[in-house]
Amino acid sequence: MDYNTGHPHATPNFRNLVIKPMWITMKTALRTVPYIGKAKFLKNNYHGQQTNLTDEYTLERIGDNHPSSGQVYAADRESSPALPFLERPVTIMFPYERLEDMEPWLFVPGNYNGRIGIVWETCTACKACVKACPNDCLHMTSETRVNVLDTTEKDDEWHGLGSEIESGGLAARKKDDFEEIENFDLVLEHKAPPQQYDFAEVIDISGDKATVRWQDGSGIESVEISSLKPAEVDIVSGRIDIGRCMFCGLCAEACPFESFFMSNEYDGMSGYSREDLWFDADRTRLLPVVHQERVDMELAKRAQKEKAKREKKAAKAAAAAKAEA
Amino acid sequence: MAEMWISMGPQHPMTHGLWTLKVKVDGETVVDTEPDLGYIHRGVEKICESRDFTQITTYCDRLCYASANTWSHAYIYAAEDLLGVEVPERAEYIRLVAVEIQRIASHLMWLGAYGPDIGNLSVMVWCLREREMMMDLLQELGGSRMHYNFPRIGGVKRDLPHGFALRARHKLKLFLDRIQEYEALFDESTVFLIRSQGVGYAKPEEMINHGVSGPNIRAAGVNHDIRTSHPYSVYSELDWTPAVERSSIKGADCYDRYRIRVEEMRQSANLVLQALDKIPGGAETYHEPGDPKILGKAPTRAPEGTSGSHHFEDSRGESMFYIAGGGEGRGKMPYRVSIRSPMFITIPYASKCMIGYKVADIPAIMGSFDPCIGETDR
Amino acid sequence: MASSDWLDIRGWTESIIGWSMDKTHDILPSSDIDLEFSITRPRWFLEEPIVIGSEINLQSGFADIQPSLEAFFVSTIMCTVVFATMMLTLMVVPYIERKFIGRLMDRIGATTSLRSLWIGEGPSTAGDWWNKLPMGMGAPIGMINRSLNSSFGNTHHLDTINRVGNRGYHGIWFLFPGFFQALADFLKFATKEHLIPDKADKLVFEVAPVIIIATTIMCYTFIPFGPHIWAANPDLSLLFLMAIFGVAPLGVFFAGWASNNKYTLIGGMRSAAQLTAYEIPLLITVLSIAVVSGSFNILEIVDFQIENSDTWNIFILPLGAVLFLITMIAEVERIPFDMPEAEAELVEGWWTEYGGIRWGLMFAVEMMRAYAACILFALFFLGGWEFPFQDWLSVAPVVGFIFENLFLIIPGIVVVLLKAWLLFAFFVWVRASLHRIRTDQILEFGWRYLLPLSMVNLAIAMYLRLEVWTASGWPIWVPPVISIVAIALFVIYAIDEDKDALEYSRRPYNTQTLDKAYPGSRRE
Repeated sequence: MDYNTGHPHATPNFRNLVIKPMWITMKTALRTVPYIGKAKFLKNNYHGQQTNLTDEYTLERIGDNHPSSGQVYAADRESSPALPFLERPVTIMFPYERLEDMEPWLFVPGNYNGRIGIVWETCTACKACVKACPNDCLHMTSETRVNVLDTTEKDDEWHGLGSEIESGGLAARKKDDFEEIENFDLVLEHKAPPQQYDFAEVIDISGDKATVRWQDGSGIESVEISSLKPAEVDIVSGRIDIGRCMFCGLCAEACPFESFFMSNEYDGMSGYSREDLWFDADRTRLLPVVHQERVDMELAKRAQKEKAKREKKAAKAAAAAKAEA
Repeated sequence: MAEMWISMGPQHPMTHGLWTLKVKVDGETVVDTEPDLGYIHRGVEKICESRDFTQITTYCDRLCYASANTWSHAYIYAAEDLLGVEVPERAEYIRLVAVEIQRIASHLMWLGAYGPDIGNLSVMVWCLREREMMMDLLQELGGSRMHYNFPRIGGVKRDLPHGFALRARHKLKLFLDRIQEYEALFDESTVFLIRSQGVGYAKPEEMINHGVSGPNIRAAGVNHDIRTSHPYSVYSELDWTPAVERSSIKGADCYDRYRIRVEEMRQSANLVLQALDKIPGGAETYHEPGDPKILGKAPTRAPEGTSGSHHFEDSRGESMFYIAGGGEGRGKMPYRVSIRSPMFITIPYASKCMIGYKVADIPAIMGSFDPCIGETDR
Repeated sequence: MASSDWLDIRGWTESIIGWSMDKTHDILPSSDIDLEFSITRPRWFLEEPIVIGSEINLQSGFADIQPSLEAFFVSTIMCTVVFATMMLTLMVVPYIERKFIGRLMDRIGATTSLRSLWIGEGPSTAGDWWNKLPMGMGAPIGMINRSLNSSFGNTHHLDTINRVGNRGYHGIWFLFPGFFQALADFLKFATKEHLIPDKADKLVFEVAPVIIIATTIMCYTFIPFGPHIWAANPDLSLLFLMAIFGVAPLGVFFAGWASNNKYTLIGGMRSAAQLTAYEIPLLITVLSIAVVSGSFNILEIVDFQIENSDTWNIFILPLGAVLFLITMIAEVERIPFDMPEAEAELVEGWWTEYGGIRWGLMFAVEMMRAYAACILFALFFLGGWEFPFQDWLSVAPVVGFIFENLFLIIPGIVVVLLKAWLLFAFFVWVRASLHRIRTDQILEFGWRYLLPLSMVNLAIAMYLRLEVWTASGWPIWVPPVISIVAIALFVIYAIDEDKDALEYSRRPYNTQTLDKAYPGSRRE
C-alpha cells in the first residue's frame, strides 16, 4: 500500500525551525507595503484575488448610485483598487462606513434578521406572532391608525371599500410632509419614523365639512371631509421586548398578513434601562412605502374580500327586495 | 516539590469555554486530573418541553454556538423522524451546504484558538479572517452571523439567495488556496512539531470503549463517519470519502488530531462545491420561502407514545437527539428531548489522556480535542 | 578613547561642572584661617578648656575634594541623562512591536494603516479628494468648503457629525499614531490599586519587584548610548553588566514563591530554571567577545571594532552573534521562550498577582531588558556607533564628502539606536512566527545544544585572537572567509530536507493519511 505523510514538508529540521515560519510572516507583513506588496512572489496566487461578488439581482436592487458600485474586492476584502494598500477596507470603519454599503448582498431585505418592523396599517391583531415567539417577547397594545383599506386615494384601484367617517369616530388627515416622511431613512436613524397622519375626533358632520378636535391639542377646527380619512383605535400586537428577543424570525414567518418584517437595521436598539428596550408600536413602525409591494399585495387581498362581501350583501338585499316585491 | 492540585479554573485563558480542570502535578508532570463541568448548564432539555417543535430549533442553535447549524440540523432530523416528514431533495442539498460551511467555520475557530494555546499568535487572526468569509456566507443564507434558525421541519427557511453560488464558489476556492499557508505555518514549523507530536496519545480501542467519536477517533485510524456509515441527507450521492489518519501504535497524538481537522476542512469545502453543482433545479434558481420544493408539509403534533431520534455527525463527534412525543398542548410540544453531546463524553477521556505529560502540554492536548462547553453543559 | 562624535554630553557636563568647581575654588578664600579657639569650661566637671582645630585653608581643602566632587556631580547628571534617554527612546520599542506585529499578523486595522496619516478627515468629509492628500495638506480646503457650505445654509454634514461626533480627527498624532500609547498604559497602571494576596509572604512579595526593577535599571549605567553618553565606565564594565543582568532571575523566583499561588510558583520555577540554563551560554559568548576584542570594557570593545579591527565582530564571530541573540531572547523571556509567562496555562505566570504600578514597572522592565539586549548586540557585534561602511563611504570617489559630512552631523547615539530598533524588529518577527517551546525542551535546547556551541565559539575566538590577530588588525582575508563559511553552513542546513524521513518505515512520528479526502486534497 502506498502511504504518504500528512504533509510533504512536515519534518522537524533546521529549515522548519526558523526560516519557513519567519518567511511566512514576513511575506504577510510585506504584503502591506505599498508597491512592493503587489509582487507576485509574495502573493502565492491566493491573496487579493479581486473578483466581482455582486450578482445581477443585487445590482438591480441597489441601483447605480450605491457606495459599493465600482468597488471590486477580494472575497476577504483585502484591497480595493481605489488606492491599493493605502486604503484597506479589511476593517469596515464603522460608523463612517457601513457594511451594507460595502457588501450589499449581505443585507437583502427580508433575509437579514435585523430589527423588527411592523406595517401597522395591515396588522389585524391576530396574535399569530405572539404565539410563535419562543421567548414571550410580544404583547398586545393598542394604537390609533388608519386601516390599509382607507389609505387609498380617489382614483386608486381599490378605492371606496373602506369604512366611512362617522360622527363620534376618529379621523386622520395627512400631514404636510407626508411625502417627505416617506424618505425617512429607517436604517440610519435611531428614532422611529413619525406618524404620517394627524389624528382627530370627529364631533359633527354637516355637508362636506366636519368639525374635528385634533388629538394633538390644537383645538377644534372645521375641515373638508375630502381631506379626511377614517381612523380607528385598534388593539394590535404591539410591544416587543427587544431585550428578550433573540431575532430568530419566527414571528415574521408566522404573520399571515404581510405586516411583520425584520428590517436591515442592526443599530438603534440601545437604551439605559430594560424598559427602554420595550419597543412600543411607534418604535416598531415600518412605513408602508418601505414594503410597498407587500402592502399592495395585502391591500389587494383585503379589498377583494371586501368587494366580494359587499357584492354578496348587495345581491342578498336585491334578492330580499325582489322577494318582497 | 510536593504534589499539588492546580485548578485551571473557570476563569482561565486556556479553557475553551467555562469549565474547571483540576490537575494534580508533581513538579511539572501531570499525575491526575479531574474535570468539573456544569457552569453553563442552561436547562435546554427542560426548556424544550414547553416549546413548539418549530420553536425548539432556535434553542438548538445555541447549544454549541461555534457550530450552530450542525446542532439545529441534528434536532430537525430527529423531529422529522418523530413526525414522519418527507423532505424535498432540494432542501436536503441546501441543508448540506449550510452544515458543511458551518463545519468549516467551526474547525477554523478551533484552529484559531489552538495556535495561541501553543504559542503562535499570528494564526489566530488569520483563521478568524477566513472564518469571516464563511460567516458572511452563512449570513446570506440564514440571516445572522451566529444563530441562524435555518432549518424548518420539512425543509429549510428559505432558498439559496441570489448570487450565493457565485460568492460561495469564489470564497471556497480562495479558502482552499489560502489554507495551504496556514497549514505551512503549522506543519513546516519545527517548534509546532515538537510541541504536538508525541504528545497526548489516545488509543483507538480506548476511545471506542469510551464512546469518543468524530475527528478524534478518525485521527487514530478508525474509519467511522456517520455520514457514510449511517447515511442521512444526500451524503451518499456525493463523491467523497472521510478523512482518516493512520497514527502510530501508541495512538493518535495532537498532531494527528490537528491534521485530521485540516483535511476535514478541505473535504467540507469540496462537498459544498459538489452540492452547488448537483443541486436539483440549479443553484441559481430561487424559490420563495414556503415553496414546496424547499419546504415539505409537516404535521405539528406528535401523539403520545411516538418517539424519534437521529444520529448526526457534528463537528466534534456524534451528536444525537431523542425526542418523545405527547407533551403539552396535546402533542404540540415534546414530552422529553434528550441530547447527546459528543464533547460531554470526550472531555473525561481527554482529561485522562493528559496524565504523564507536562503541565505545558495541558492546553495542547485539551485544545486538540476541540472542546466546546456550550454543548457539554447544555 | 579614540572614536568620538560631536554630541559630547559627558565632556560638556564635565567642562560645566569643572568650570563651576573652579569658580567655587576661586571664590573661596585662599588664606589660612586660624581655627584655634577654645571653649572655656563648658561644663563644671571639665577642668581644661576645649581647643578646636588648627588652621585650615578653604581653597586648598576644596581643591583636595574637588576631583571626587566633580566626579560625583558628573556621574549624577550623566545617570539622569542616560536614564532619561533610555526612558524616552524606550517608547519606540513597544511602538515597533505593536505596529510590526500588526503587519506580520495581517491585522493592521484602521489606525495603523497608512490611512491614519490623513489629517483633517472628518466623518462627514471622509473620501473627498483633498482629504486623501498626505499629512493633512488638504485640511484648509476642507475647512473653507465647510464654512462656505454653512454660510449658504447647507448643514448636511452636521447630521453625521451630530450622530457620530468628530471622532475621525486624529489631531496632533498624525505623524506617529499611537506613539504615546505605552506612556498612557504606564500612567494607567500607576493609578491602579495595589493588592497583596492574603496569605502571601509580604516582605518577599514587596522586595521581589524591587530587585527586578532596580537591577535592570542599573544595567543602563554601564551601557554607552554613544561615545560620550554613558554613566559609568569602569575597566570591567562588561562583567558588572552581566552580573547585574543575572540578578533579576532571583527576583523572579522570589515573586513566584511569595504570591502564594500555584500558578506563579510553577511560573517562577520554570523561569528560574530557564534563565539559569541560558545564563551560561550567554556568559561564555560574552567572554568570547571579550577575548576577541581584548578588553572587558564595553567602550573599548566598540572602539576595537571601529578603530583596531576595522570590521564588526559579527563577521569575526557569526556563531557568537547567533548564540548571543538566542540566549538573549531566552533571557528576556520572549516567545518562543516565554514558557514562564505562558498565557494559555499560567494566566500571566510569575507576575499574576501583581497589580498597579508594580505590574506596570515589571512590564516596562521586560521591555527594558529586551531593549538592553538589542543595544548590547548592536554594541558588541554591530560596531556600535559606526555607520555601515563608514570608512569606505567617506573615501568614495564622488559622493565621499557628502557622506563624510553626514557622518559628522549624525551623532553616534542615532546609529546605535537605529541598529537596536532594527534588531528589536527582528525579535518581534521571531515572536510572530514561532510557537512556544515547552520548558523541558527549552532546557534541553539550552544545556545540550547551546552550551557546547558556545564552548566551540569560545575556542574559535581564542584561536582567532591568539593566532590570527596581528598587531595591525585582522588579515584582510579573515572577515570575508568567516562570513562565507557561515553563510555556506547556514544555506546547507537550510536546504537540507530529509527526504527519507518522509517514508513511513523510518519516520519516528507516524502520521499518514490512509484515505485521501478527495483527489488533490493535499499540496503534492
